[in-house]
Amino acid sequence: MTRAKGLGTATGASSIPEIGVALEALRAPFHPGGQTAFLSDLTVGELILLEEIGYRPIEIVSGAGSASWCPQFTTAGTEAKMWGRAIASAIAEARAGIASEVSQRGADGVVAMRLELEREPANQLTCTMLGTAVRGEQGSGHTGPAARGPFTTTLSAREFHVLTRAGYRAAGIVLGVSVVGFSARSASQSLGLVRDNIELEGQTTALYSAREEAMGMMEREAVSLGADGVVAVELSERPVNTMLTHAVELMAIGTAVRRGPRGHESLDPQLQLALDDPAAEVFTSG
Amino acid sequence: MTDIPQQQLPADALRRLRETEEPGGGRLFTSDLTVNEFLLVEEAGFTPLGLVMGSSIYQIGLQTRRWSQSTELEKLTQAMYTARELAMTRMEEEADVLCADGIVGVRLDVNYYEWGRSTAEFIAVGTAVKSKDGASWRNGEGKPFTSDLSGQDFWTLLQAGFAPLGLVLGTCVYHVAHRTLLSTMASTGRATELPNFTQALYDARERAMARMEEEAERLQAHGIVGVQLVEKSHMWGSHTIEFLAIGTGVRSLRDDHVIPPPVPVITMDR
Repeated sequence: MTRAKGLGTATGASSIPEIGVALEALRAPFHPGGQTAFLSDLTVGELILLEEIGYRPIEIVSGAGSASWCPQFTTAGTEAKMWGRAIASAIAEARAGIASEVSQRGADGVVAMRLELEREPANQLTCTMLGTAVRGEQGSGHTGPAARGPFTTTLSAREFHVLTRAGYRAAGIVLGVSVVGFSARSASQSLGLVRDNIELEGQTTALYSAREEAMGMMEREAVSLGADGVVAVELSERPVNTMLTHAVELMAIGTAVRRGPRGHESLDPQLQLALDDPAAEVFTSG
Repeated sequence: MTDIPQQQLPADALRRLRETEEPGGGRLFTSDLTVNEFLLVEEAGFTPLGLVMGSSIYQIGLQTRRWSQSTELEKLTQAMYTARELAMTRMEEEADVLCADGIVGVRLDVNYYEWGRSTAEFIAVGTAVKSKDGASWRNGEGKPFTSDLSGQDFWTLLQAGFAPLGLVLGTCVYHVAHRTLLSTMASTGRATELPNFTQALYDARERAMARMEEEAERLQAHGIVGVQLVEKSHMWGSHTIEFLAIGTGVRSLRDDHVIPPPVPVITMDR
């Protein structure tokens, strides 16, 4: 408000305090390397949203991990388990890598982290994590890394902003993974020749249990971080190509959060009515 | 449509639901709601308790269809109904273990796996919630309310004086008759309505919607919001289609449904 008024009535640049500060900064001698430059792949709006809640970007940090396993030494029963273990260890390696980069740069955590999991042929698996390391500013109440190490989150800067404003703190990404193998079915079943509607109880229970196991593993990890909850959980599943059995890989990933001392702080949302018209779509879809 | 026998949840499910209870009385919650949705559910006066789900791997039987006859395939309809009910009942049972008042953000999915021809997994996932005011929000059947509305819609619905009662759905698997060679030839190159197809699709859609409305009446809902009509051929080829109507049955909490007038905005980022 005051800034807008100042601009409207200004006759000279020096009468506006903000511009005075900027001119002062420009007059100061410039030493290359003397300033701390930051690096981030966030948009301008996202950086401002982070500043607003007292977080400064430091640098882009990353971590990577890989794992592989040998199918020759496995049997049908253990095969699925080994795949699950390989995924978990690749992710743990990447997480340790990014956490050590964060600590080296004196940051408190990572926001807007991208997590990529690539399955390569020959039973190889790589996991990469890439995000912007941030540090809480002095006096904002966020300073200093948490006792349990830096936090990581895949939440966008926008989501992180609104979460912090509502009184929550991100504790870290948590995940659970499990793999379930199914034995072959009878010939008539696999040809689809059974005429009746039936529930396949064995398969239902196996898949159900595996999914619960992935979710349980994620929840135990959240408890060990001292979290109050896990938000934005993503459940994903994909077939695993193995030679011995039909296997399905189930994964649950989310961000663990802690409630602040004042609990949930109301955001008091307002209802809005956008007056924008949708883009014209005349004659585009036939 | 059918009586679903009371299902026992797998032991792993019960173990997971019980182990998050912390000694201090607090408990860890999990939710697949986005941050915005989660905060709006809190804002609406509900606390998330945990992610709940139900699943059923179901083998859908065979039913012969006549090439030139448009008809509902009752056996397949029955299968689609029963399998979804099984998944939803198990999800509600998980919510019961958590003593939830309701389940928000319910998603119903059908997955296919390469090892199963004519076999599909029906899954229902949602976030169990409990009201902060201590009142019971369960529906007339004593079950937790269910709703497929997003967190944003849930908040807005409560602001407007409505509460969700339950997810209601109706389905109809329909075989649309193939056209005879003669009629195909007769209409080749002409712009004309194909009354058989029109009639078949109309009929199937109406049946699905009527069944959804029946479910809503059973819940004594005032209305159904957020209805989606989904058409899918699943694994049956082009002429057999499932018509699924799904929405959230709501009840009225107060007489007026007035909300503070929305602020008109024009966004600058286009």
